[in-house]
Amino acid sequence: MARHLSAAVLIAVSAALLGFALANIRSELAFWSSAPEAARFAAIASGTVTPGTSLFAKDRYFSDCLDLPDSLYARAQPSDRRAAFLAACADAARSVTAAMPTYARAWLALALTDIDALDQARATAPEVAWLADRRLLLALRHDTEPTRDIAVLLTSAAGTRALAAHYLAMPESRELFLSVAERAPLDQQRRFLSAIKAAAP
Amino acid sequence: MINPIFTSMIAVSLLVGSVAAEDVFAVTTADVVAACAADTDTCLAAVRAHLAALKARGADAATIDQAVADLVVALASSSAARDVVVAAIREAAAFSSDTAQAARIAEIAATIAAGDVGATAAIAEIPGSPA
Repeated sequence: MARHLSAAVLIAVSAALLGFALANIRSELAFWSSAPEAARFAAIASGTVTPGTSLFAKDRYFSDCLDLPDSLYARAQPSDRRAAFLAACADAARSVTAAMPTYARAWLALALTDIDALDQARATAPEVAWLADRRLLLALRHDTEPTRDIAVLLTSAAGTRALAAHYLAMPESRELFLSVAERAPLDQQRRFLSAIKAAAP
Repeated sequence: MINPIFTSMIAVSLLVGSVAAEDVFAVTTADVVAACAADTDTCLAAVRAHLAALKARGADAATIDQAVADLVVALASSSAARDVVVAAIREAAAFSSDTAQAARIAEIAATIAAGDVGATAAIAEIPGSPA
């Protein structure tokens, strides 16, 4: 009798572990595939996919949170659907930053719907150019102070090229970009000017 | 005396027939994209026929708004002439009941018309970046 009972307990525990493993594998594998953006958008908006356990899966999830909203596909969607996507990202970001308070990508994903989180996003990865680029655009959209991000972009060649592209695409922000560039070291000013000339049509 | 089973069978046949007929004559997103390979007038007529037919069939606002989104995405990725695509996208936006969606679609049309990509992130994410 006791033998049967322990076998049943073992089977139940094994089944529970298998279920847990399968649930994790699903979220781990979801972002390894290069699914079309429509499928990735739907998976996040519906909550079918959540950030996986590994850092790689979290990175992929929050990169989609940061980049998909600006895609043509996402911009064309009805507002309710966009709101569902952003709310799913915000929920996931809140939960992940509670456990990983230095994870900048999740802070920035949270800032998409809660602009106060932008300070945390800056504090946790102040010098990373690709994040500074996204922080700059978000700050400009919310009319908050982006000077620090512009200064960071000016310190690298890739960042300077990005800033030059924004300078040409956003005439309304040119004065701001120039005012920060004027306070940068001379070599950065020259590089910025060259980048604008190279990118200009 | 009319046989009720026979009457029900006729009613079901008529219903199935009418639904099938609707589907046969419905203009799909693919039909619109194909029509937009011709010229602006043909394209705009197809856009109107597609979205107006949904309204006529009693589709709710959410269904029509989603159809508008699907159509815009399909048109933007089609190989039709740029000015035809822009006109079709603007026409589709007019069918949306969601003013914010319509405004975003108008921006998409303006971006395509200008031939640029708008203000999007200009640095690709660096894989394995410690952030």
